Parts: sequence; structure tokens; C-alpha cells
Amino acid sequence: MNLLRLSWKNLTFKPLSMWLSIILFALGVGLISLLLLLEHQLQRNFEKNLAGIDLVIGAKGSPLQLILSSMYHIDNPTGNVSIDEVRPFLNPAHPLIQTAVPLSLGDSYKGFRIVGTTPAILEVYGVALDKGALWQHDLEVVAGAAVARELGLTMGSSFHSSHGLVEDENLAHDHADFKVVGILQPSGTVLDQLLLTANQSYWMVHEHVETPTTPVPAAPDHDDHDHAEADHDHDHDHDHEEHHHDATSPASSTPLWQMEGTKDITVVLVKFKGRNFQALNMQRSINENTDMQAATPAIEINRLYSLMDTGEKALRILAVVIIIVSGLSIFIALLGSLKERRYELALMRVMGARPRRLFALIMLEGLLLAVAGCALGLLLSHGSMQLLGSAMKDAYRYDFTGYLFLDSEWWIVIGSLLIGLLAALWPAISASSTDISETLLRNE
Amino acid sequence: MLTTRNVSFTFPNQPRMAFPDIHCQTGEHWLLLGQSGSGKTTLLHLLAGLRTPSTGEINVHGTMINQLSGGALDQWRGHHVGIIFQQAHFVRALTVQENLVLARQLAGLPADSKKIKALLEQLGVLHKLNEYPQALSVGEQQRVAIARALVNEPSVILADEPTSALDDFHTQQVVTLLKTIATQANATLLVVTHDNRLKATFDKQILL
Repeated sequence: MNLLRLSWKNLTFKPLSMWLSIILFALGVGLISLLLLLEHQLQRNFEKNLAGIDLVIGAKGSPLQLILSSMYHIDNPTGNVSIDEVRPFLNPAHPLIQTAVPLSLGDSYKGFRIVGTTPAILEVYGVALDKGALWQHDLEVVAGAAVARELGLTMGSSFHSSHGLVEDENLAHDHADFKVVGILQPSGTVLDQLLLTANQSYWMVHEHVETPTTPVPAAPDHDDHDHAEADHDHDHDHDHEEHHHDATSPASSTPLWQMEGTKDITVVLVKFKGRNFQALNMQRSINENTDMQAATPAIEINRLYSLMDTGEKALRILAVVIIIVSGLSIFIALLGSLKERRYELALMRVMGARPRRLFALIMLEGLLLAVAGCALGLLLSHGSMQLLGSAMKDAYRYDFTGYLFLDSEWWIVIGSLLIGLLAALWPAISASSTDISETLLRNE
Repeated sequence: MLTTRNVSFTFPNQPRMAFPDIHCQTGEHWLLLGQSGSGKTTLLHLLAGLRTPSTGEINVHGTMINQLSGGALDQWRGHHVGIIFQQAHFVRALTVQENLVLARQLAGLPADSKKIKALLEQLGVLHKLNEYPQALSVGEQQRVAIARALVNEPSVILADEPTSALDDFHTQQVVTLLKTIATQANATLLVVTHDNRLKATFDKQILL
């Protein structure tokens, strides 16, 4: 019958009071730990996907929305821009720009976004092909690792895309078949969650109704074919002769910046050669002199952090309050049981127990409650993170996991133990200073 | 052997209590009689080392326990004194067996379940081994309390009003049991009581 076992028996003798303390403690610990896990993974997600991109150029609107939609794929695009407007930035000879990646956004397949782009995007995010090859022709698709896994896409799979970013049977483009020609390695970046194709494929899907072989001047659902924002007017006054849509025609034979006509894309992701004065000036100049806007990802993400920070702070304070209350509940539980056990403790002294033994006994009881509460809390937070993860994946385009133990969680563990000890301190001192003779007399 | 000399004790703001000298040989059975308020429980606590006398000395088998203090006194008490209280109290979260094991371990002795079982059998409560004390009848609790007082083979057994709550029949039974057990263990037995029924069964008596 060692001290630990005796403490445990004493606790389980009053299971209701024990569970109340443990559950309160677990709630506080769980909430803090869950916040840490969320914050850590969101930040990791945001930072990993910054991918060294210095500037995002797109249609006017909220700069945060521009960044969220084009880099994290979690909001709607602000609209489209004409290829004429961004042509200079796509030109490889641009003196300030090292890499420019054009993105066409707005379509999806079963909730996963289809992105029209150029192979340069793989270099920017540092992702390599796992299987197959890059898109060579229109309507060929390279699938992100998570998309392929979730939807069971393999080489040669084909599908119809759907207009808009949410799954909707009614908006399916049931005229064009996308075909999977490659699958990416898992990278932990947003590319895991995307279906990549050529920008030209986008145009093809959206303009089929006007191809010469299908002479329907205005399809009834034509207005829906604005692939970004509903209020953004899709320009269909292009020259049909220029774009002969044939699934076998090479899509990327003409670089985008050399293509004529007034095709639309959604944004251009820009990496500078160096962050010098001229490069920094470019953003201002775009914002002031064109109908487009340019936004810096790092700045917008920091703004987002500060927005989230307020809510997170409130939750943290709540969690700390819960932990303090749970510490109090341990204190009260121990003190209460002490009152009932006064005689019992005196009896232990009679049987030869030294005061420090009683002190240790009560401290152990406090510690056990804290350890159990902390363990249950961490279990709760990691378990619910894992559960929440699958629900949040669609919203954040990121695989959240509960199988992750942060260094900062050690501080939760240490803090919990300290609170347990602190809560038990006064009851333990009171127990160890029990006057045996007095207690025995009083009770008889 | 248990002897006291000039022992007195003073509660704060109260007159000094002086106790008669006691000389008990090893293995003798004594009755300590006194009315309520005569300080008999205080004397029992002094003999058990639960209090330290204001003056005088207490010698238990060669140990001057009035000179012991703190941990040494706790250790000595756990080892050498078995105390039976008017009401039996136990560690409520532990079974009968666990309570006896605890008594041994707190005195620094090994658990020895054989000894515990033998003792419980002798007292007729072996079948309550794995029950919680609260589930026992008062009589059974008293027996288990006696078993606990004896489990460390003390040289002195102190009983504080062990019969005050019992009827004549059970009083006789408990007294006989205490005497038998003390004789077997060759321990000095000292029963503190105001119960005049016990007068007839003890020939050695101290009157407070």
C-alpha cells in the first residue's frame, strides 16, 4: 500500500467529486491545447504557402480576399483581369520579375478547385510530380496528392468540371472532359488540394458554346459562364478563329504572354528578382495607375493574424479562467474531503505516519487530479483536432492533424502540474499539522 | 514494563492535571478507572505518545518516551503501541485487509498477509477481509480495530472506553477477547474506562 495507491483509492472513493475536478481541468487544458494546435497549423499553412511570392496582381477588391483566393484558395476571387493588362508582367524579359505565374480560377470538381496555370507554379511551391507528366494539351490535368487520394483519381481518370467553387450538379460543364495525366507528390502545400491544368483549358471549357462547330450564338445559361465573380463581366468578344478548340491541340505551344486577343485570367503571382526600391514601387504604381490591384501576401496575412488574434485572445482568457476555476475545484474538493477525513488522518498518525507523509499524501491527490485532467484534456484536444481537421480541410485547403505534439504543450503539462500542486498545498499543510490528540478527542 | 513518575499535563488556560504514578509489569492487565473529565483519556494519550507531558517521565520498556519527539515518537508509537478507541475508525477508502496492511507499513513493517489473516481468523472476522469497514456491523468493526491494534505486535495495548457503547453480553466478550489476545502477545494491557461493569474482571486497578 504505497502512498500513490492510497491517494488513488482516496480519490476514487469519491468518484463524483473526482470526475468534476478532472473534467473541469480537462476542459481548460483541452481548450488551450486546441487553440495552440489550431494556431500552429494555420500559421504553418499560411507560411508554407507564402512560397516566396512577393506580389499578387488581380482585379480590384479586397486585398485580403485577393490573397486568400489566389494563394490559399479559401475565398472567392475578386474578379478577372484581361490578359492584355497583365501581359507585361508575364513577359520573361521583365527586368524586375523573376517568376510570374498566371492563375485562372473559378471552377471546381467535387469541391476541389481547378486552377489554370503554367508549369512554373510547381517550381514556386517546390513540388514535384509523383506520377505521369505535366499537362501538354488542353483539358489535361495534374492532380494534387490529397485530391487524388480523396477522389480516387488515377492516371487516365476523367471528369467534368463544375462552374463555381462549390459542388453543384446544376453548374456542371458537361461538355468537356478533363483527363488526369499526372499526380503530384504530397508536399503539405496548397497544391496538394488542387487540380492543375493549363490556362487555355479554362477558356476552352467556358467558351465551347461559341466555337464555330457549335453555332449557337447565345446559350440560355451563357450568363453563368463567368468563371470568377458573378458581377464580373466575361468578355466573349474574342476572335474565334484564333482559338481552335481541339482536345489534341497543344495547349502550351504559345506562351500566354504572347497570346493575342482579350482573354481573361484571374491573377498573376509574382516573385521579384530582388526586393529593391523599384520592385516595391511596382505595387503602388499598379494600384494607382491601373484598374487592377497588387497586394503583398505577407502583409495581408499579418493583417489576418491580427484579426484572428482578438478572438483567439478572448478564447485563451476563457481557457485560463476555466483552468483557474478547475484549480479552485481541486482545492475545494481536497479541503472538503479533508474535513471528513480528519479523524482518519489522525489515525494514520497514531499508527506511525509522520506529518510529512500526510503532506505528501494530499499533495499526491492534487497532483493525480491535475495529471488525469491534463491527460484527458490533451486527449480531447488532439482527438477533436483530428475530427475537426476533416471538417476544416474544405474550408482551409489544409490537412489538419491531431497527431502532432507541440513543444508549447509541454508548458501546458508543466503548468497543470504546478496548478495541481498549488491547489493541494494548503490542504496538505493543514493535513500534516493535524493535532492528533485534539482530533481524536473531538470525535469521540 | 510501563512506569510513570510525577507525570502532569497542562492544557492552555486550565489548571494543571497531575496523574498518579503507574507501575505495570510486562504482560499485566490493568484497569484505569475515572469519571468523565478526570483526565483519563489525556493520560492514555500521554502513554501512547500522542501528547508530551508537561512534567515527569514515562518509561515504556526502557524507552523514555517523554524525551522522544517528532518522527522518532511517531515511529516508536507505530511499532510499540496498539490503541483501540471507543469508536472504531478506519481509512474508509480501504478494505479491512488494506487497513491492516497500512497499519503495518506506516510502522515500517512488511505487509505480511499471513499474519493478518491469522489475526482476523482468531477474532472471527476473516470473512470480512475484502470488505470495506463501513459495511461491517459495530461489533465487527470493533474486532477489526482490535486486530489492527495488534497487527504490529505491540508491547503495550491501550484501550480507550472499548465497551461504553456495548451491552453487557458484548462487553464481556470484548474484555475476554482483549485479555486473551494480550496474554498471547505477552503485551501489557491498559483499559481506560468509566464503566463500572469492568471492575470485577480486572484485579489490578488505578483510580484517577
